[in-house]
Amino acid sequence: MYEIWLTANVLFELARVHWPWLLGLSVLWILLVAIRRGVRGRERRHRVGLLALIWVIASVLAVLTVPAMTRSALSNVTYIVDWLNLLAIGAGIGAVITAFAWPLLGLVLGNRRAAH
Amino acid sequence: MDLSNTPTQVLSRRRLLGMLGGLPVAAALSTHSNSARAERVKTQARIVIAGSGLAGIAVASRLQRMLDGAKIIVVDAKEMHNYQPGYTLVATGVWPVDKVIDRNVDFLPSSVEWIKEMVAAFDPVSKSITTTGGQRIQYDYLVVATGLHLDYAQIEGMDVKMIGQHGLASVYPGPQAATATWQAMDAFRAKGGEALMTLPSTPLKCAGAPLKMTFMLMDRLRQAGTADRSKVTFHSALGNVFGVKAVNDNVLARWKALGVNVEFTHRLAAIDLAKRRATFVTPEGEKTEQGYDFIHVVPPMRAPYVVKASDLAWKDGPFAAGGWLEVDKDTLRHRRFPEVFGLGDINGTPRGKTAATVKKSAPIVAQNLVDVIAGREPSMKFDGYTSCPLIVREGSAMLIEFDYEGRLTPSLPLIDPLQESYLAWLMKYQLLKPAYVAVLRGHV
Repeated sequence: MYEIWLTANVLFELARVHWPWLLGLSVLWILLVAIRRGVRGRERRHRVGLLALIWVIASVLAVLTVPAMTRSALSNVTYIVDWLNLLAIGAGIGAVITAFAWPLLGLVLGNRRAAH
Repeated sequence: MDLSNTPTQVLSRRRLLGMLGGLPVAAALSTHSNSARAERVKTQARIVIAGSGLAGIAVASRLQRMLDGAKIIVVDAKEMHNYQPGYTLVATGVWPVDKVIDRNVDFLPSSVEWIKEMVAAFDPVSKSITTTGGQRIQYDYLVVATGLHLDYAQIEGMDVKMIGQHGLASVYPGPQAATATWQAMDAFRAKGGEALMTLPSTPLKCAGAPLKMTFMLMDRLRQAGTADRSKVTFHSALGNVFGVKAVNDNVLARWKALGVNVEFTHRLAAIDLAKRRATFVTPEGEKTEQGYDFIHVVPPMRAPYVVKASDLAWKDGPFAAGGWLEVDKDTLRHRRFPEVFGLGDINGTPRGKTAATVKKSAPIVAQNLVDVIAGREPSMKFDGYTSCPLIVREGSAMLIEFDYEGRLTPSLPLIDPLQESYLAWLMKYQLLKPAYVAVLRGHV
């Protein structure tokens, strides 16, 4: 339980340092979602498939680039614990990117449908 | 944690943590909050904390939440707060220096009185301290968290102001020295040559730092393509390079593979900075002089004179020579003055002068002090926990954790402490400073 508490505090302190970015991104996301609600989209199952693909691609790209962004290299990731954590980090970054892709995709597909 | 003292801060923290982690985090938060709230004790006690480093501020933050009505006074002239675990990253060109410089005022709880003077004398018999400004401050309880003294004066010819010049490096004195050390290392790696790394025989804060500096020097030489025309020798004043045998053996094996030479029982006694020559002495008194292009000096360390000269210091035993604080290693309570506790580097205990030691022991000291105020015996025992993310090259480290007995005690059972790991590097590079700040605020 202590490790969860410690991890949560580390994330809180990171958020405290980077709060302007987090606030800006949150506002941007809310705006995108609000705009998206006004546009009728394509069938749900098509969007879900595309979003899943975006999440996978974004996660893979994150896994490949995060070590270099932290002054390390993918060649240093040789330990199973490293891989598990890196995959989790990649999946998390992929999820954030997908969260932004979701309203954007709705806007693009909705506008295309309206044009037809 | 007492929620009534800082409702806004804790509420926002709880909300954010809830968003970040969902139910498990909320459950953990609830557990910690409830247990701390139950321990809140009403008192009019006057508590003096000598020192405003990690230890002093962490225990002040905790006590102001655990006690209702106490007068808490921090005595320290230092206004800046330096993140010392980051010095090795600055000194090896990984971090910019501004990442290790903060202000104490941003971390000290507002309800704590801060006297911006140094302690000039401790008088535990009269339960008072005297400051450098001449103030005499009475206390009911005292926490000694002064940190330690870097005793460069024991090295003849050493001049801290020259760090960064003539190939002289030393990571310990502060952010400026760490920056200057990187300048010296950067200049050396461009050409290569003879490098000397040193280790004194006294207790050290962050005993892993001399090893990290050696590993990173080797990595910088490799990156610059000058490793082949360089010779790196580690001079230890002891019979080993690290006090935990498993780690010592692992490091020596790695250095053998990297080509680092090791000389044991070689104490740096003197240095001629202009001529770039160092003199080492063996326990038998045999002197050897050696030239160098780059030298990393690790100073002998001892208690600050104000503690060493006081009744609070050990009077006999292995910690007497350094004047370390005489505390019981389990409760961290003074062995002769029961209203005095010690925290951090100043403690005369078998191991542990790191931020991780403070992280583990600050809650113990706070709880034990609250127990004593409440008329109980100290309820918590410290196991000597220390942690060191031992950098083995840029991008990889080993996460070493151990206790008083030198047993490896990994926090997460999956992690092999002697396995070099990107995760350990990521923790050192990105995650430990936020954890450190959470310790300062008394949250972890």
